[in-house]
Amino acid sequence: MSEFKRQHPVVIITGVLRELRTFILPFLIFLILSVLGEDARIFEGRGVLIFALISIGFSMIAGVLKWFFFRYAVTGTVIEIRSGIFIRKQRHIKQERIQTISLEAGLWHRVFSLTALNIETAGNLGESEVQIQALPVIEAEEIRRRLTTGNTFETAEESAANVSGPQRIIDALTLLKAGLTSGSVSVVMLLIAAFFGQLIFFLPSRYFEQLLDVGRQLGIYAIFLAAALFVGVAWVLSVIRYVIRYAMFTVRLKGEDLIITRGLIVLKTLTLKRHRIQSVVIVQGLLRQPFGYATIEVKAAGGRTDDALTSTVLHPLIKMRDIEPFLRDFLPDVHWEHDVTALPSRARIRYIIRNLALPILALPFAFFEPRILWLLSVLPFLILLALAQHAHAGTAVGARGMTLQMRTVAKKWVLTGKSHIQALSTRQSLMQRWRRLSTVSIHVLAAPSSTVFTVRDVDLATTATLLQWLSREKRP
Amino acid sequence: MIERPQERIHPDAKKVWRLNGMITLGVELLLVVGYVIGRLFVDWLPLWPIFPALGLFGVLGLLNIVIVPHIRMMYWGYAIKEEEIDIQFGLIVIRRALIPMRRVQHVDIEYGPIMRHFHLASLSITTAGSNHTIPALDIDTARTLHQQIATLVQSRDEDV
Repeated sequence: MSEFKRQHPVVIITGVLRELRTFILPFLIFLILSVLGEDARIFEGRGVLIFALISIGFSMIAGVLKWFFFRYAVTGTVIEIRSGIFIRKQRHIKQERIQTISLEAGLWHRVFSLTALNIETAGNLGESEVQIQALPVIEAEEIRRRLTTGNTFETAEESAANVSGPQRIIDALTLLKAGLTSGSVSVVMLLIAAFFGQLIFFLPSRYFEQLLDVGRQLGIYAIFLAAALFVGVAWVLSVIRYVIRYAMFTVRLKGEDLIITRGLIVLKTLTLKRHRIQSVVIVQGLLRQPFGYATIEVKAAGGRTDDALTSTVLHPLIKMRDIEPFLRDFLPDVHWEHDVTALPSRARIRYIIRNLALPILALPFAFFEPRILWLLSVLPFLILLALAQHAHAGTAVGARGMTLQMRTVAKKWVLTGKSHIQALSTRQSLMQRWRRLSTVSIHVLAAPSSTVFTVRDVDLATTATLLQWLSREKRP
Repeated sequence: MIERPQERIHPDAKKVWRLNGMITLGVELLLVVGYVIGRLFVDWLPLWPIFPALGLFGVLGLLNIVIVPHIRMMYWGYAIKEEEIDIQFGLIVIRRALIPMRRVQHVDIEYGPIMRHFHLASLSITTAGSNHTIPALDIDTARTLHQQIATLVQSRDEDV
């Protein structure tokens, strides 16, 4: 496999299309000018045609040349990539420098049983990524195997033995439950609303007037029904969206690599080095709480992770009591500290005030706009939420790790090792000093930069314990 | 709470902050003067905005030149030890940061013309996930610390 290879020729087509896309905007401007500019001859029909032909011609040449000059080879544990038409680029990436390797197969990839291969290395953003846009799946798997384990002499039996490490496959029922409770209904509702918002510009306004008339005739119940229908449809769509993204979710451990595969239409495979993982976040959404389910996410150092977000989902839906056995199998270095120090009860009032501050500030405007008084109906829920936030928040430290608990709406547990805390910072406002409380934050590395986890209004004595715990200096 | 870090920043820092405050005030006053001159050429510009502006700049100037440097000085503390860097500052909001030495990625020394005049420098400490600055140290102290941290950082294990 040491000789140079080109990507699958299908890349030429996608490449040409991509080049064409860059011409769309200039072309549109050109078209508009040709419609508006009556005097200028160049903007007549023929000019447009020539412009279009030039764009297509240029795109085709560029697409073919880019494909022709893009070559890659794997020698031992080094991948070398040569690219560029005029400015030739050569890049060698050694196995040690690679942070993650991911395979991603879209619809058109699957037609030809191809996949895209992404390699992320440590380093500046943008420079840190290499993508081979299309190559046979078998070859991609082979490259990944070589570049992750680095064991080029691995025999078939050995690789079979390696695969028999811990493995979890998420079954369809669990997936459906996860989709139903994912809480992304609101996102889908926003998307639908945005879509119809755009539609308004294209449909004549009389449709809406008719629609309003129908609404008026049917009365308030019809409107409620329509709203319920809207939420229902959005929910179903959100479940479908979730299932498509997380279908066939599999996580397995091979040597030091965690390999995560998921997706129905776009099949994604992500390889994550275990020692890169900086913290584990357990998230329990509001809808999942009654059923005792949660999601496990990890934050890893370096490279892009999952969907360009800062977290990678390690398990989409797991029973709370199954989390520790799961972590023992996959991430034995991560400890969930259970000796939690809750917040003192004097912190409760601050949580309540914090949640109520905004609506109460808005209340004076009810003088001008009485409808704002509706806000009052939200207050009890906000108070309940504040009580729940206060009850869940807390900190725990143990021999090896720290666990922080906090809640916005979803309950969160942040598990991190002592050596993964970049800095511990505290903050104490005037009011907090009066109540002997302080806000504690830990800075943890997460691709692409860093994350801060914060617990508000921790007892001052607890804060001191945390500082003491992190400090290695001998103190009296 | 474990005792606050004892090391103070350099007393000359007050002079630097005061000078900076004066320069800012000077620029603000120049803006007002510019506005007044502008009125000579553009008739419809009203005169009244300069009074609240002067008032605001005056109060801010007083704070920045007389009061804030003093308070900042009093409430700034740091400690650089074998294993960690400890920083605490703030009067109204007290902030504290504990940075394990093994997590420090690099240290920068920085000084402008005014700082250099007083033989001062600021020291900024970067980890993989955060950034912290000690605003004014004697340049030589800063260089020593820089060196010290560099050696300490070198001896740490090569993990992230």
